[in-house]
Amino acid sequence: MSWKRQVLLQIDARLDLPQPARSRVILEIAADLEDTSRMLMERGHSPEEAREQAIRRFEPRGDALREITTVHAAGLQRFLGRFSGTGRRRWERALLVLLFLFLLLGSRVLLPAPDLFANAGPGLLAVVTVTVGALLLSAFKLYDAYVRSRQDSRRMRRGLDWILGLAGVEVFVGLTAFWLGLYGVAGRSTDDPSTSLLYLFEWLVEGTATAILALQAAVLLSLLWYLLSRRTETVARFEAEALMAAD
Amino acid sequence: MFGFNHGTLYPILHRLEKAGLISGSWSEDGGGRRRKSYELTRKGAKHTTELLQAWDEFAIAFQNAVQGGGS
Repeated sequence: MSWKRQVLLQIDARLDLPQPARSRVILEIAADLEDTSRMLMERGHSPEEAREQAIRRFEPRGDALREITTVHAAGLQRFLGRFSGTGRRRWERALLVLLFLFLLLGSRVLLPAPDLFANAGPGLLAVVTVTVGALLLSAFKLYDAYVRSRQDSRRMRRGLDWILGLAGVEVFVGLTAFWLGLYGVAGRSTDDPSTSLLYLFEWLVEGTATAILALQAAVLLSLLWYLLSRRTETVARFEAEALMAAD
Repeated sequence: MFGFNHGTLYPILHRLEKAGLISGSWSEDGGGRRRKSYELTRKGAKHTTELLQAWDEFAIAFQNAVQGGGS
């Protein structure tokens, strides 16, 4: 492992910062270490002397590191920073619950009028179950992406595509419920043709209500997936840049 | 001997950058090495002028007080 990488990894371990701020700081320090050691060698210092002097000059320690963290911490992290140890974890958990409630409330507002829920057919239970599961997963992922002070792109990526997969399940459930309903109407109409029009209208109301709810949930989940994917990509890009700078 | 740790400059520079008084930009030299440099923004230049004026006023007032003058 190169000396620069070793120094940068040590600084990285002590920087309690979210991405991309953490990688930006590491990149800047890496550039200054590189420049200074090169300049000192050009002035006739041995590589070891140049390396030691560069580290002595540019490695931020103690107060400087804490100050960097304070400058870059987001408002939410500054707020959480006031609570230490277990207290802080309690607050983080409370925020996670709030985030989930907000998502639930947000989805309830985004989703259409309550009569759609009342009119929806038997597919509604499946739609609601999948939506609640996907929102729970999204809440954990949002916490990883925006609340946790040290993000890790691998952790953020884990299970992320499940959200998109569940959005696809919503579409499948909505459309299947719709066409299955029509299949049921056709069967009943064959038995008793006189009531076919009534069954047909019943199917139209139930089927479209279920399909609308399923499609709305799918759109909401797809948007969440997109938002989280973009965030994950940003974090991963900065992690990669910081690693390249350290080599 | 006084040894200055340049690492202490990072939080100061970043704080000034966040306040919009300086702006940092990345550049790359021919060898592919990246370097971050900072320059004063218009807001920063105005702030610097104000600070220098305040310092001048303080220096004059202090000089007058020491010399026993004053107007």
